[in-house]
Amino acid sequence: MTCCGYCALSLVLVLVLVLVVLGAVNSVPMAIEIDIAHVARLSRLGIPEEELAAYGEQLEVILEHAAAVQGADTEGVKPTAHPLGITNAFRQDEVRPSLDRAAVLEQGPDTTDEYFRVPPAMETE
Amino acid sequence: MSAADLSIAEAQAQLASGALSSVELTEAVLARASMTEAQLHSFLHIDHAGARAAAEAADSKIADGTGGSLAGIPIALKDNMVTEGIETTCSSKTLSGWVPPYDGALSQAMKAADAVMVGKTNLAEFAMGSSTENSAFGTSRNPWDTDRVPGGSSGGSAVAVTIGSALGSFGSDTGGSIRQPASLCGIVGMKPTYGLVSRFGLIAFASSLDQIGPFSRTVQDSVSLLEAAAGPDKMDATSYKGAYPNFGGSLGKGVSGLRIGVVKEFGGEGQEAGVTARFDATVAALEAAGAEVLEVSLPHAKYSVSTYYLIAPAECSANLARFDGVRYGLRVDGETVEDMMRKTRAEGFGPEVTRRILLGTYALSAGY
Repeated sequence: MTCCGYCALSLVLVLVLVLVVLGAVNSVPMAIEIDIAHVARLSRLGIPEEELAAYGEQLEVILEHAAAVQGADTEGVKPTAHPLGITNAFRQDEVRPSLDRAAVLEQGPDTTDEYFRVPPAMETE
Repeated sequence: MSAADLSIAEAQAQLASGALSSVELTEAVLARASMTEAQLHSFLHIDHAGARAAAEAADSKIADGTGGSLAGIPIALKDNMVTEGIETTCSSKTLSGWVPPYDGALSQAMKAADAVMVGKTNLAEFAMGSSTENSAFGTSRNPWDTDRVPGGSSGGSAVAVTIGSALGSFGSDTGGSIRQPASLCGIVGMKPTYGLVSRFGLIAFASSLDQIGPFSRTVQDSVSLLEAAAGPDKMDATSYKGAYPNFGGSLGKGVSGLRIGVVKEFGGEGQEAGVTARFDATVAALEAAGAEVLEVSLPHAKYSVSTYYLIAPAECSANLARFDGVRYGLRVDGETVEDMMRKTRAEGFGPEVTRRILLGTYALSAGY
């Protein structure tokens, strides 16, 4: 089956239109939804259930504001990790004294002999 | 006039001539603190005994002619700077009672300069906040009007210098934490170029932005403090390794011929009329003094707050992971190690720190 070419052209036009519309939608700040319980778990923060929702709402407001960076035109801008162009610093791999072990352990909340002591890493039956 | 009201340069002249001793100066500063602390709360900890001992030692060095660049000058350090044998808390319940077994680079530098460390100043918890209200150990107040905040996060350091409880102090600046409280208290504060002052022993908030800098009552004093603090340090991989300039080289030379850029994107919406009037008057004064003032544009300035709220919390969430109840500070018991960490961190961090850790964790985990 042959095609006159206008079809293809109009298809391209429709595609362009769809992309333009999508682009417009993208530039409007989108509501951000956060699984706050999951984020709190990743953060190792045992926030009480009744406070979690409030944190979630606050985060969503901040993130919607922060999403403004997506409006920045970064075309032709080189990625910048740090404005000062800091490079890695190397040193000789030499043994040198560290802090006194007893002095460090003294500040630990629970220690035994030469170690910090913590509860079991795995749940016990 | 009390010796507590002298600038560092004035005090140095009197110390050198013998008109004043460091012990006298230190007593004047301690007396000022005991008179004002109940209202202002600039300190979390005042080291009376340590300050007096350091002042005596400085006096004998000054007499010998072997004193360092800040010999006998009472200074204060923000309580996110590690000081050996002196409690360091970051204004957080998390670190309450932690007595560091080592000195950070700044504390070492101040000892090397023979400065007298008066105490550790209040801050917004972990340096997060612009008013010093969210310290776990009480709010600092602005000496000009105690109904107002001194700014933050280095509020205590700004207040101590403003009121004369120290002749100079140091704060840390991540997103304005020196410059803003200095401005709100009417003193000199600067955030030096990143890397000039070692961050070794500065308890990290956002490592790519954190920088230590001075508070003082004069620009000249700011130079003296910065000169004593700046320098390469192998304990800080981001420390600047090139040549250090003569920071005071332009002092007293005026502004004639200087070109000063006024950023057109700053100010405007949200800025109080009084601030705008002050700003414009300052620009006019600089122009009258011979500076060339021109408008410059930072087209991406409008994204700076949004960018800060992604970068700073992301780095904070990683940096504050170390406060897990294992090696120092608070621990709340739990069934498992993870349970202990969750309970400890929920109990130890205040709401603003918690919010930023959550925000940073989300920013770093979104899409995974």
